Amino acid sequence: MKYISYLAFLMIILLLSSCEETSISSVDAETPVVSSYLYAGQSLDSLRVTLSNSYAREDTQLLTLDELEISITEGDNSYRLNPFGEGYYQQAALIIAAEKSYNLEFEWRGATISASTFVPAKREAKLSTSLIEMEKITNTGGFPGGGFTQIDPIEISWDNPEGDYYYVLIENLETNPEYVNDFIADLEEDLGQRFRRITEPDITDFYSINPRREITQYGTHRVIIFRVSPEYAALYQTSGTSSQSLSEPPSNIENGLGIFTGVSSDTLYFEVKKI
Amino acid sequence: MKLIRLSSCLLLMLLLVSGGLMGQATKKIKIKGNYQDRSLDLVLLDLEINYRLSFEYPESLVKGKRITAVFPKTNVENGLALILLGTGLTFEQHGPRKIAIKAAEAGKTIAQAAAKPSRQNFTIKGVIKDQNTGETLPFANIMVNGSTNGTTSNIDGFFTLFEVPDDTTVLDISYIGYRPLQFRLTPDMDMEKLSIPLMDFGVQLLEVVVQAERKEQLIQASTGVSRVGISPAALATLPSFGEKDIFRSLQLLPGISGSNESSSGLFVRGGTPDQNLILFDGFTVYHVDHLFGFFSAFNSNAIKDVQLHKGGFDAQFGGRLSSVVELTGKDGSTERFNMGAGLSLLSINGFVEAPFAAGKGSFLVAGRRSFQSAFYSNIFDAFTESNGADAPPGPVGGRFGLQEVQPNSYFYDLNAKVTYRPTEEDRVSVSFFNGQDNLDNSRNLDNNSFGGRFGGNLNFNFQSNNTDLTNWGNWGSSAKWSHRWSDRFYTNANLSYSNYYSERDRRNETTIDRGDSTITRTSGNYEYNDLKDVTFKVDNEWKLSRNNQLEFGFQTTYQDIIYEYTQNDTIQVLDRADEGWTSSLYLQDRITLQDRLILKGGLRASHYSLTDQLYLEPRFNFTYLLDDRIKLKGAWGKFYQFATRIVREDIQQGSRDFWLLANDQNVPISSSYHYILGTSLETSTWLFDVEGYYKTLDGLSEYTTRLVSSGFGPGRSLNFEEFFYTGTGTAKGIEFLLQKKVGKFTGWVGYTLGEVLYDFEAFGDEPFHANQDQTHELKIIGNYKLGRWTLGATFIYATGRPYTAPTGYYEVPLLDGTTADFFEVSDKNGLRLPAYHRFDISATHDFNLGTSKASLGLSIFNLYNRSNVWYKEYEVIEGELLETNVSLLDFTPSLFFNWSLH
Repeated sequence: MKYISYLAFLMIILLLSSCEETSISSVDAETPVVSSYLYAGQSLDSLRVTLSNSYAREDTQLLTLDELEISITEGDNSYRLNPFGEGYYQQAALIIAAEKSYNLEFEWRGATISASTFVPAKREAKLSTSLIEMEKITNTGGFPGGGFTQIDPIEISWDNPEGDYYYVLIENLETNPEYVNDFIADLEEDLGQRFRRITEPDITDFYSINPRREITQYGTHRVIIFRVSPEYAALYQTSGTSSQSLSEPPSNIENGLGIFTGVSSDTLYFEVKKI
Repeated sequence: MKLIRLSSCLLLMLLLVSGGLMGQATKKIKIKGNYQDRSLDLVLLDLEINYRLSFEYPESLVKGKRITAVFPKTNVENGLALILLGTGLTFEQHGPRKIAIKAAEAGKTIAQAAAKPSRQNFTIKGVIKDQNTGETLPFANIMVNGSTNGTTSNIDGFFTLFEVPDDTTVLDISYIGYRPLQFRLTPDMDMEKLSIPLMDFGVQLLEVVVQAERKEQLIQASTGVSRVGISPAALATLPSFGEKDIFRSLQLLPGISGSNESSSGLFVRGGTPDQNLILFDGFTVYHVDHLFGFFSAFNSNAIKDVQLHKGGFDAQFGGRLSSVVELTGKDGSTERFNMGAGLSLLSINGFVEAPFAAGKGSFLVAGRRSFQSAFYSNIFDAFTESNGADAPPGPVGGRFGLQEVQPNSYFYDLNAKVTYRPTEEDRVSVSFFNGQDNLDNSRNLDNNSFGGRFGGNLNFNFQSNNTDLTNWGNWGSSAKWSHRWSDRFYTNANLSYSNYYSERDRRNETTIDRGDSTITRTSGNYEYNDLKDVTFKVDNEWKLSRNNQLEFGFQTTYQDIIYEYTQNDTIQVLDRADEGWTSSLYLQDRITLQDRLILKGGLRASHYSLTDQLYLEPRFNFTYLLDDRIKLKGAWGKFYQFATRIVREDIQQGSRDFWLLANDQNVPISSSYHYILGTSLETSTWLFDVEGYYKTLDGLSEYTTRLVSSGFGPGRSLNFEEFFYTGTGTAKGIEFLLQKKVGKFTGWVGYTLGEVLYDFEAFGDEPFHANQDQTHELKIIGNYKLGRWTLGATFIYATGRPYTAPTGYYEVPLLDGTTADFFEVSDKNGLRLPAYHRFDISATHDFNLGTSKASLGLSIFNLYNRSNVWYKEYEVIEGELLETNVSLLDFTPSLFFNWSLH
């Protein structure tokens, strides 16, 4: 009886031990990358197709695809794009209309690469002020007696009932802008560079800038409010830089990588004047 | 033969003055015994002093013999029979109060020699208690010596044992962390109200002699199928990372991953931590992490018993796919007031316990709080730096007024329990638990932050509150009433409340006050998850006969879960409020056939209000005793889970998780089948246990904000519900455990071979290895007793976990003229991190401070300073891929000191 017991014990161990191995594969293929923005009201002047750079390859040179037959369709209209080198394509006859859907399609190595986007309508934005006056702070004269006059924040606002993504670009348009604060100018490594601020796409309906704290230069500033699609906002939600979080990169291209998206924008200006 | 007389001067004097009593027969003398692991000669001396007895025996016969005997007042014959049980000795009366001890005749045991049973084949009822504190002990084994007839005490320590051969039978009582006891029944005992005391290993013995055979077990792995008991009292002897930790020690068992330093959650047989049902005094605990998961939320000072069911669990439990951890809180001493305190490099803790109402009631309060030490900061930094949580969020920053942020962070937990026993048959207890983690990285700016540069303008004030607050915690409470209707029927009713909340506030609020108007703007994001669980359950045990026991009951749970994720105070990205009722009935029958085959069959039926459907969960398990050493065992069952924890991946701010109720539309109800087969070989010293498992997993959910696919056309909207991805999976493996249970050296070797495959359509056509997949895992745990010192060591080796790596990169120009770099990635989890291994050691010294007890311990974590890779970071620099390994904790020594009054 005892032997039978031990035999049964061993049999179960053997039975349980018969596990099979599975192997893991890893693919190092190169994939077409589309970069294309459809601006409402403009013609399609630049769509680029490159290849992703595999780490399996020795060199890091950018490879482009120049001989593709790319078509963009909108409703019943179809446009064939013309290549003009370095992976770039254009079609002057294709004027992008707001609130329309566009489809991209081409073949590569037997696969159909495709994408679709909807071009959002422009949303009018408002600025709380178009003129700001600020004292100059010099490194010789010191601070003005009695402190600074406070300046109201510049508020940029627009309607966003749909909960769409917007982002704001503010840039100084002067060729050789003067600094508000000499102390800051002294710290600037690349003097003469224009003030430029870009926010990330966000579901928001305002942006506020505190001139005293944030604006460093005098002169005319341009404000562009971009209305973008979620597929563009997704580009900012990076796919991670750690192995814990690395996943497929954000892309709205089927069988490919990159972006094909519609954009609209509104442009406003304000002036920063020295007093 | 040289005879010696063991008697003191005092005894002689007593004998002389009380000479008139000498004529009485020893039968009229009643003796009482409470000897735990004492040397026999001292026991005899004790009897001589206290009962004026006189023993004669050769010294060589008694030398080195140690006994354990606990008995109420009985006659000398019975008492001595118990004392000499198992020593190979017997006794003979040589005159009034004069007794000779001699070697027993071959084949005649002392039990036979002394016992005159008055009852045969009857039932006994009783309770198992800690001798020192009066705390009742659940899940203790009570066996009739030399037979397979036995039972287990229930959660309140009560037991009923049928078919006891006679009233002089010897019972073998064992419970992890306590000295095993041979308890002999005597005819004059009250068989309806037996109270059997056990002594824990922490109790200092009077003698400093090291016993050759000490049965000090940390784990008890042989009680059932896939079931392990853990002794919280014995945990201090294991190497630890600053604090002794129940969940960390569970991770040392085979089948449970021991390489996840950054989570105290349990990955049981390929399952994830949210698939475990954690019950603390009957209420469900939904989140077990302190300090980002380096410690668990449970204070081992407040817990007396831990039972882990790794799979195939009974019909009594439901609502989870993977495992059950049952934690029973201490009731508090019914014997005397006791208090204690402890200090480690990480936290300070204390407890108070006391009886009231003449021992009918008792309470215990235990608390713990971390403090900001270099040790704490070390762990804190390891986590926060790698997740970038200290980066200032939001668009405001500016060139002026940058401030250093000193994060304010701590955790605490508090346990309290009051137990009252109005009658012998009733117990009422109320248990309370609260634990919280708080991390405040906030900073506030105002006019003054700029050195008075705005000071000239009194008409204006601005204030910028940059909030960066992360906190999470649990509140739990239960009220329990247990009643023993008869020796066959026991009922346990439990009303519980549990609340888990998690809040992440990363908002910047700017208030500008110009005297006549105030403008407030908010940016950033806010995330809040709040889960409330109210449960009422009734569990019944009905012992139909010795071989047949029914367990049945019902449970109804109301869950209310809120999850909101808001950006900029105005736009709600996700706003879910789910509430649902889960009502279950269960019935289970446990049948023993011919003392060899134990069959358990059960069914759990649950109605879930969100789907308005009935879910049936059949369960089955068996144990077959091939002989007294070898056991075959197996289990099968179906398991459903209705509340699911979703992980929201967020790269920039660290991943967050939240609980949701499944609705079978976008979040599926998950289910699993378990198939378990195993065998074990157990001797008095060794246990060799093997279990194989196979689990199917259905309705797994994963949530992501990255694979964006919004609606389309003019009416498009951002439908975040689309970001739940669902899939299936399988987990299979085999676990080996070789345990040395007794002796100076104890410990175990555990090995697990396992595989977890997930199949998600969204991640490709082929199944991939889940994040928690580990092919090999080896754990070696050893404890060595050296007088008052205990030396401990643990070694863990585990195959590296799977990860996803970049295989290439590409750039996309953005609208603002910059470019963004992207990685092209390998198949999901297509690669493996290097193997994980580490070696920890510890030394604990127990000593007395006056009449109080103290222990001092040193632990060294990761002794040979292995750099175990936690994850990899990637960067593209001029087209080249730069890979950085982010490592887990390195060599870390830690100290602790514990003190208690008794």
